[in-house]
Amino acid sequence: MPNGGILASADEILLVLMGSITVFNYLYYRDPVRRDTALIFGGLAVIVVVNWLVGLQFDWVNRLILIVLLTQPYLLLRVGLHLQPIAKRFILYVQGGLLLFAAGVLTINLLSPDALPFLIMMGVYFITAQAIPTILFLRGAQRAKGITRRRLHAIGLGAALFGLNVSMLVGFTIVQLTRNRSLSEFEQLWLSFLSTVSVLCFYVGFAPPRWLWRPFQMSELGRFLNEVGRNVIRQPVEDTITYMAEACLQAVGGTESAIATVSIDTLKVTIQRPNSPITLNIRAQDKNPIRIAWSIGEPAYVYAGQPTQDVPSLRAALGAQAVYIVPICEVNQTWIILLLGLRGGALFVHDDLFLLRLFAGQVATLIENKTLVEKLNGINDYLETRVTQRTLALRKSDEELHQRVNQLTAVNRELEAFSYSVSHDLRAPLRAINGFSQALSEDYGDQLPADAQDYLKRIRAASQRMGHQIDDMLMLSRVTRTEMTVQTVNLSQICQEIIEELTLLEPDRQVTVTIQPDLYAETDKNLVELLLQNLLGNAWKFTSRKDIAQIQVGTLGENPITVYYVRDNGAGFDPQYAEKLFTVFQRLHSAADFEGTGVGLATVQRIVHRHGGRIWAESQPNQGATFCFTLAPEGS
Amino acid sequence: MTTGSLQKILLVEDNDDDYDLTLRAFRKAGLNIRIERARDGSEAIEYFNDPAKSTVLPNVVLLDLNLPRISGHEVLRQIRANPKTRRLPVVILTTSREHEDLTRSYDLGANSCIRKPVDFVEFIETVQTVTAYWLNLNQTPRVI
Repeated sequence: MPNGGILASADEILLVLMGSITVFNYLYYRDPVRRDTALIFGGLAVIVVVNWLVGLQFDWVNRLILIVLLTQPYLLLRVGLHLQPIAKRFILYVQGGLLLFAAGVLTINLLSPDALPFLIMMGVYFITAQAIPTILFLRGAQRAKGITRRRLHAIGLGAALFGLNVSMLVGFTIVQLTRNRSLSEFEQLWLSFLSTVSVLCFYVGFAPPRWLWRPFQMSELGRFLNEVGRNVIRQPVEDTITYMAEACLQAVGGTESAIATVSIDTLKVTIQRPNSPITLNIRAQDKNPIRIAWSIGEPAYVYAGQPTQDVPSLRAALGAQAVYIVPICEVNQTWIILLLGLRGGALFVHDDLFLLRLFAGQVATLIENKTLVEKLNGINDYLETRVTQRTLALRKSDEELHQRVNQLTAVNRELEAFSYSVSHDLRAPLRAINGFSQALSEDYGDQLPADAQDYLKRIRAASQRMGHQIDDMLMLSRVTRTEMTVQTVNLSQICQEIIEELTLLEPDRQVTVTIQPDLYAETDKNLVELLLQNLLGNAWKFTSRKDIAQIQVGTLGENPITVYYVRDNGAGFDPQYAEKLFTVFQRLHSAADFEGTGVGLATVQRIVHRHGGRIWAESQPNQGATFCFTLAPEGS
Repeated sequence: MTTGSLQKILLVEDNDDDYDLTLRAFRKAGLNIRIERARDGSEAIEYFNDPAKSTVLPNVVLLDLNLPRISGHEVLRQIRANPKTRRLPVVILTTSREHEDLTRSYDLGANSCIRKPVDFVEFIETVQTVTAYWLNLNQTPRVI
């Protein structure tokens, strides 16, 4: 090899480096693509090393260099065939040419002028043969996306420059032979430059450094996520998977994609290609790569010639030489498997698997998110439906309630009106009974026997009692009907006035009345007056048999709401009838003992209820009675 | 109670029992009173519009509130609206205990309101007293 100074030594060092890297790569991964790549650069590295060690003084060194260089188009083509198939005749041409010219190099004395036509033919062959993989790579780059595309571009460019380089070398050698002169400095520099750039291109393409590879990959992933993430919520999951399959195909340079699922029960693998309605069922054996990927959730790569079972049928299913198996996993379980078929084979399996793992992980997350969003939407819809249903039901029951209240109010009003008019209208006949009894007694009393006169007297008494009852019922109905005007009322003062009135009616009675001063309540003055009239009137009435009657009015100890009481030491009642006290016309004492219509306490209870309060009574016969009441709702 | 010229009372009352008993009560009290009767509101209004009947106006009108067709209140309103009867003493008789009925009566210009109790004795006494009061008030001063 011509010595071109720093550049020349740089390209030589680079070549040796590339050779070592690719050979080590192949030894590590042992896949056919790396093998062929290692052959290319290993061969080139060998000639550089040989050149370093022995120089060009031996004829066999020159022949070896030429043969290694001659293999380059073929080796590149082999690598390119992993990418995409090519017409057989091109392969035959490259193979045949290689054999022919290698034989020539070994047998012909290349330094003699007679060898010139052979050298020219060899140069033409080399250029055309090198063009085939170059075009293959560049076309592959055209179809590929992302990283693969960039790398294929680099390789294609490298191959083209390499071809150019070797062609020029051959050309210069021919010139050297015919003109009998050595290469100029410029020519040597130019050759070294070309070979350095082509090796750098190969370096970027075949074994890109991490710092270059990472941004490639990240930008690819970013583009994919951006596209998928934007649409994943709106799209059906199937569309996302289809898009992902497409993106993955582009990223790895594949041609066919399919979706595989594994039946959990039968472990049967079902493969469905998106654009074909045909479903393929593969009899899956234990080592079936899809089943393994399914259970461990890790992407895998299978290729022709792999000793694993089921690989041929899998490859046949996709019509591909090699297949990427990409499981997409939910939390703990593989959901589906994406199969990516490559017509040739993968150039950069490790990188592809890394990227596919990222894709699958992201898509799984997106789909999980989508599922969650859908679930949430479902829950939301469900909740909304429930709320709507409940609201409707509530509204309905509210309406029913409202209707019922209206009905009840109407019925109540009717009843009130009825009882009012009944009470009202009953008075007229009573008045007649009473009046005519009196007239009879006055006008014809002397003609009547004593019994008849007594009967007439009883009729009058009875009609008068009935009149009182009617009056009390009217009062009771008025309690319910009248509007309440709530104000601060001095209960102590009202009690005092009532007691004074009672005392005026029966001035001879000895009654000790104790009224707690300054009892105030927020209440309707008329109603509370009626209430106290009834309670004090009862106390007054039921203590009439006592020599020293006692009546107390006050409030009970500490309570959240004020509890008022009216206590007497009168006749009292049997506590088992305490509940009946407040029912209309219920009397616990005979009329002979104590007068009364049985309406008073019912009125009292109604007044208390209208305040939202509570009334209860405690007593023992002859031990007096205590009536307790509140004038506000509990908890107010 | 002394009376000079013949006193006249118009009793507007639909209830025959009440009418009979009232009539009897006045008679028994020995009052020289002529009692004329209207059986309902429209008859009462007709009474005042009929010149033959009302050339001499009654000294007092006893008016039941609870009347068929035209209520006592309406009768009272028309009595007060008529310039001829505007100053006529009107005593309202009612079974109602409703506060509103009473205030409405006074608002419309009733001179007195008497609640009809069941006990007729009590009622008649009240009516007599009130009627006598209004009769006397309408008398020339020398009578009082």
